[in-house]
Amino acid sequence: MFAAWRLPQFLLQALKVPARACAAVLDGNPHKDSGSKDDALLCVSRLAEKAGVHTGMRASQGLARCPKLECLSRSEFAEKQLQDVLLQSAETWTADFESTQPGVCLLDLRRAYRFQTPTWFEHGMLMHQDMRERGYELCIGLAETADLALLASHVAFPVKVIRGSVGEEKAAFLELPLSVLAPHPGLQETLRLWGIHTLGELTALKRLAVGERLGAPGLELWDLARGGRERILKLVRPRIQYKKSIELDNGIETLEPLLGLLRELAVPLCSELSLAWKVTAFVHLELRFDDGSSHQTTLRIAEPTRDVAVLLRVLETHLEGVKSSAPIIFAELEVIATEPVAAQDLLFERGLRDPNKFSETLSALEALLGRGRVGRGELLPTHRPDAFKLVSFLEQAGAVDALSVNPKSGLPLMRFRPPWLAEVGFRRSRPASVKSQRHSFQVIDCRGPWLLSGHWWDELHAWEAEIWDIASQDGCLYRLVRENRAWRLEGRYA
Amino acid sequence: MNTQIDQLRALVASRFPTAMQTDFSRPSHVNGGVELVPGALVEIVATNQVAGAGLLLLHICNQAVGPVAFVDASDALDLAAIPLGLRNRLLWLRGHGVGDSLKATDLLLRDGNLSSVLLDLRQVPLAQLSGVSSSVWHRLRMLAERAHAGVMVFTSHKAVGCAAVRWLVSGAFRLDDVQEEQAGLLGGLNPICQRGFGYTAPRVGNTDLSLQS
Repeated sequence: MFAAWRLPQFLLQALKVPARACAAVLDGNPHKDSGSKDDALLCVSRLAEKAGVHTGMRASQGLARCPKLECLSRSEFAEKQLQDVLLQSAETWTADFESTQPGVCLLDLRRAYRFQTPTWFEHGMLMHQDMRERGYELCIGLAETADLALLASHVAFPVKVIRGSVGEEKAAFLELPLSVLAPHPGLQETLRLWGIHTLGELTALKRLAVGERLGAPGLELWDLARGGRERILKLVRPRIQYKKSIELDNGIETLEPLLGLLRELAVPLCSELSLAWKVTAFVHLELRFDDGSSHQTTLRIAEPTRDVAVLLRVLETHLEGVKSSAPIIFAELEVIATEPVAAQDLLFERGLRDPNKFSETLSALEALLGRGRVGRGELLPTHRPDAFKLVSFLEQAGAVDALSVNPKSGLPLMRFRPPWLAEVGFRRSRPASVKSQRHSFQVIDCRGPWLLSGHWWDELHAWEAEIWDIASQDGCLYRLVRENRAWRLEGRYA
Repeated sequence: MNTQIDQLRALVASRFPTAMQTDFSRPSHVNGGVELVPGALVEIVATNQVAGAGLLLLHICNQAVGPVAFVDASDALDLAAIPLGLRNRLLWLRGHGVGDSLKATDLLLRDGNLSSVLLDLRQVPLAQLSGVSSSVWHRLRMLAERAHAGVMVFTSHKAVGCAAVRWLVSGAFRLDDVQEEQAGLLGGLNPICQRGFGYTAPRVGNTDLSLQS
């Protein structure tokens, strides 16, 4: 048996609006504090409905019909909080539940021991009572399948139990609007134009005919209207965190006591990992200083492990490059767990002898050369010359690069970074002399121009270049480029 | 002792032919035999007026097995010239000059994970290059020996006093060659061995593959 929990007028309940209030929630940016009168009404209280206000109206129209109407803005925080309350309550009934959509939760009660004796209706009433004690109104549908239970929740006041198929409950479902199935807006509009507004009108159509005209989404909607099909719930599972923190009365100023402290945090974390048969893939470290500043970093463990010594070595390598103007008063260590690699390394194909040590060396190299100067080069998806980025060498290489064409021709270019600005003399529209900041020479031969351009659709990033290959009198081969009316030597063929 | 090691290598090569496709199965005289020598420093000298060292660099990187470190003292590598397969296993270190690049090479060799390290000092000014103390090169040589890593240093002038092998690149290319096939251009490179003639990795012929008891 499945139970569908639905909080009617979820948005109003999230804002804790009393049931007897005449209020509506505006369809605006949840982050905005005040709503506009042009915003549509998303959710309307029963009292307001009685006064002729309904969802979809503009706020000004609602106020015209009901001057006492109180228009409220949505609160993302309150909605999330209410959904959490709903899930926490569901957790007390069963371990298997799905957070279907805001205000809706599906419970799989098939394995719950407590549902062996009394009737289902009584169970539903107990659930309703439980949420009422928390201050919320709940509608509960109980049925053999999840989708049918969800449908039942829309006709439940407060509990509806369906045994058997939807056919037996035709009268209850026929009048439900299509919006309860939350169809795609385009599909709903099509059906509206056909004059189909309720589940009864949809199911009156032949399934095959609906499928021919609306495709798979139409068939799915038709099936849902008939009570849905057997499906697996997307169960909510709490994320297990391996995190330890410590606050210090006396600040730490040097590395050694800090490492001792981190060891105290890492040892129990690694024990927990060991019990769960997991290893560490990343370590997240947060340090707070006496002057209010903080330092946060996430370090990748090249070869996932739960060896405390290895983790501390990685942390020590990182911390050697950290400087602070105030003592450390708070430290937090979190390890992100992953499954240990089950495959054995091949005897001859393993690339690195000690990946963790290599990861530390890469950190040291980055500290020496600077961020973004150590790693594996990847070309960017553009034809602009010299467009690339550096990624971590230990990251898995993509199967294909942005430009996966393998160059097999030509002399490789040795780039000047930054390019040398140049003054170019011309003879018969061809470069004849070059005078740059480092080198001046006569051009004895040249090839070109080759014209390249890109991003012409984007005013800010549009570029075009005129490229020449030139030979100097001393035998060097250069690439000369004109971009933005400026000449520069981009590199030497080497 | 060396004979036994050679025989052991040959035996492993016969049993795991794909895994051992390294120096043994390669033609021995590609570009006159320029290659990385495990545990030693190889110097490639190419003056600024001569093109071709870049081709040789690409060729050496392609031939190297596993990850390759390229310490680029003048941050001059053109990534578009590198084939995808090589790009994925090339650790590029974009240096700021000789000092940083030598320190980076030192760190890589001390780490001992990589067996192929290429240090490019071609655009470094002569004054800086000749200012590098010979003790630095000796330290790198000893580290390479300890890590059994092949280190190749590209310079514009002779600088590595303790290089086991030194090659002089004297290719002469013209503008028409810029768009030629790389395979053909490599053939015309003709590097000249100035030091360590005959100093190459031990090779194994079709000898008896059984181990001596």
